[in-house]
Amino acid sequence: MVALPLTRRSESRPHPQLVTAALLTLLCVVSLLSLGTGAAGLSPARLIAAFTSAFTGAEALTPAEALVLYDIRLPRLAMGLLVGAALAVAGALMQGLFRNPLADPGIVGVGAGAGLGAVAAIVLGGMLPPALAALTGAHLIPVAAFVGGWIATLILTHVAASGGQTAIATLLLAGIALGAIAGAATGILTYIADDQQLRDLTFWSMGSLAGASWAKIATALPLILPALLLSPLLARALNALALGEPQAAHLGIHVERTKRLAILATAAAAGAATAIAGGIGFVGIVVPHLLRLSTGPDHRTLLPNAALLGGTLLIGADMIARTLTAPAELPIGIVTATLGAPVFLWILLRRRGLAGI
Amino acid sequence: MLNATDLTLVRDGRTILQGITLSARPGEVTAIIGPNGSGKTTLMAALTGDLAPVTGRVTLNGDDIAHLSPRHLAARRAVLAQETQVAFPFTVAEILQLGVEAGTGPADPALIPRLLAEVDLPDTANRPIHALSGGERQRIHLARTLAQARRPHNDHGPMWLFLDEPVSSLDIAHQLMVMRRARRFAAEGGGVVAVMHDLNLTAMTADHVVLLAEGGLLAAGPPEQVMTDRLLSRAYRCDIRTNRTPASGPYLLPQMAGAAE
Repeated sequence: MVALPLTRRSESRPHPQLVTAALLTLLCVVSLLSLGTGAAGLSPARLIAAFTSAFTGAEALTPAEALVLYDIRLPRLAMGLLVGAALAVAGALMQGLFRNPLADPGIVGVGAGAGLGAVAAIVLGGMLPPALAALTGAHLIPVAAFVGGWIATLILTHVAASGGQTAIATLLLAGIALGAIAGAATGILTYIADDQQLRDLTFWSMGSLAGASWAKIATALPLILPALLLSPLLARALNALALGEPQAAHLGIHVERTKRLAILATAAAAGAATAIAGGIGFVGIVVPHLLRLSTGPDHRTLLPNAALLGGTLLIGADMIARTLTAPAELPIGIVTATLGAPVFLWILLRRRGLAGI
Repeated sequence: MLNATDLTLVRDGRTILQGITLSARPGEVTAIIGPNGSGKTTLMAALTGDLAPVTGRVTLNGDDIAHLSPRHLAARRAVLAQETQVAFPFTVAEILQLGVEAGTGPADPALIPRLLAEVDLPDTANRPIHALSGGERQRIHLARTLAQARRPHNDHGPMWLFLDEPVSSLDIAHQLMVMRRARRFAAEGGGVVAVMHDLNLTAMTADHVVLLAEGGLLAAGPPEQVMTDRLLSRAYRCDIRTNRTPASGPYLLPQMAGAAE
């Protein structure tokens, strides 16, 4: 009798494809709203007319409107979608890897490692041999952030996941230590930076989607896109990993390979997102958690849906960030933290009674 | 056939077992018994491929398990661990589905409901596994293992079922149910290797008993030969008297130790 409500709740899980369709619709609606919101108003009708003008031949927008749409709002939208999807998928991957719903690149120090990589690229990038500098080009900051995030994740797995079990306390404490180390190193680099580098650093550290441009997106896409495409391939392995590492091996999963790939994908997605948008927290916690509540923990639906909801959430948060205090702009990290930190506390409260916390 | 030859097993720099040579036959239930700390679980880890032996090798149906990929190993053996903590609120059906996907061959849609009925937990398919009690979860994981080993015999020969203390948190009725199911799997041609704690249950259900003690293998053979007063008393370091019911194999009562003096 006691179990009856639980039975009902999980039996009423919506069909995964239905949720995906709903998320796609939501993404389109929020995107149109976001494109239309700002100092120069563009109604949804005009936006749709503009996007279909190639087929209808009608000149829908004034040159000024076209500039606002194609050079400011669309890149910003695309960057929000990309960064939000990357952060949410990185969160879901990391939670699967550590078997813990509180693992998030921003909280366990991977974001700080990626930040250190980006700052090092700005300050020390000039010292690179010219050949190497030419090779990385505009990709230097995202690649450095990816490497920084990757190293942080590797250290984290060694410290926190000994013997296949991850105690959440160890994980969070290791994250604090990693964040402190990365923060100190970032401080030293900032101290030795020259005036021009300080200007670059300031712009970079403001994060947000304000500096969005197609060029910036192009630097992060080669890291984020493979990570997003790889993640569904890890879904079955991550499901098995939820039972524990030996159990996953019993189920035919190549555990070490799965961990290596999940770490790489997490670092690539979270690192590149940090490189172009700065530290944006809690997307990686809130999005997978909400999806697990509605459609369950199966990574096969969780990972693609996380990309959709993460993108939508960040586009929405960006809309709030730039309209709430217009014409000034709130840093988007403040918006996501306001939305996400209470959810984090809520998960912590609910899990406090369980073992391992 | 499962063959282990001259195994040396080391964990955290400590040698747990040395010179272990044993075999288990399909169609039989092989029980591994021994006192606490005698290395039962470590030996199980070596037989399932979790722990690489320092010396020696393990072959399953003729293949060295060290050379089999996880995927191929999963097609030849399924494992019930002593304890399994599920990290996220998967439903019972989702947990069993993991076993279905790990096994080989077609699985009919009735498999999951049938296995749930076999472990006496029908109608739990859509419940989150966290909502079940410890003993119920243990039976769900047994059902998952049986889903993976749904065919006692497949293209790779007999399927093997490794059970690490399968009845440790079960009541008497479910202990009997689980051991009966293991016997049935063996009767259908599969191989069963179980780490056992309960000596009476071992005497009742095992065809072959492996007794571990003092860092090695003390004896192996049919229950009548291994479960003797002398061997058990030496292995468990206490006075044990076995007895016989008229119709079946040996049984034992700890109380008899006191009565004998």
